[in-house]
Amino acid sequence: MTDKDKYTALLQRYWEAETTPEEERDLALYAARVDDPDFTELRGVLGYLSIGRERKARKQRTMRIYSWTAAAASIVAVLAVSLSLHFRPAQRSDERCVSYAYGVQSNDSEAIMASVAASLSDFFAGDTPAEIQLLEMFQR
Amino acid sequence: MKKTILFFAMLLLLGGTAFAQRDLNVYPVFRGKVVPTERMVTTEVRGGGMATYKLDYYRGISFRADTATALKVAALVAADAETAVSCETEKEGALLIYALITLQPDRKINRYLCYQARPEGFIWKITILYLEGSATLEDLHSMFEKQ
Repeated sequence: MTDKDKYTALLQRYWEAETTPEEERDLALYAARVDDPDFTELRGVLGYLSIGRERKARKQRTMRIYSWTAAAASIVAVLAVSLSLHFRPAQRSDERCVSYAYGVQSNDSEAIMASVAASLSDFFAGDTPAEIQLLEMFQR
Repeated sequence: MKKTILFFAMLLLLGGTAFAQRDLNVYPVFRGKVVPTERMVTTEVRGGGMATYKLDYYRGISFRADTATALKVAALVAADAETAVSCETEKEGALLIYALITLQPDRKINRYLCYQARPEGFIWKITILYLEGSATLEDLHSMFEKQ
């Protein structure tokens, strides 16, 4: 039994879907090796299948790349937001100017800023702290 | 896996932007945990008005306390002074009566803690300020020396 006979029989079984994966691989190698017109059709089928496999692999590769790109982009976005928060100018958008004297709220910004100036002045130039002045005022 | 990495990245980075004042030993005093806030005069200013002083944030508290409480507060201030960049302090006996503390900056923001205890009979008038901003100690001194 020649190689050709053996592979022709295998080819027959291939068309009848009776071959094992090993036999199919063996048959594919033979078909690729010989230039026999009896195996032309098989080469065409195998070529089509290999293109399909390549396409599938390429698609999986692309999906994997997209997936990692999306993850990387998310990390970059989080980093960008966090860094901008980290290094933004000290000025914050939430302005606040409030004072409480024994639980009583005051929003008189002029009076509050005057007390702030007095307190700062007390520490940095030696005046009486405004909070103590307020304290004394409320005790009277 | 990717979701976990993202979660931890966010947690780590957002954690870094937490409110800087909370790392202070004296923070509970500001929160009214040592002396109730109803017995204090508190002032909080953020933004706008503080720009004049090259500051972004000001928080001041003032209250009267007995010697035991004053010592407790002074100990918290002293603990903050230990980790400070620099500090000027003054004591009367065992009690810290004055402290001007340059705290570790929060990124590029300078931070200061000012403390004063003044005797008033058998009690003490305590004032504590917490400041944040770009102003240096020299800036603050020169601003108020001119006035």
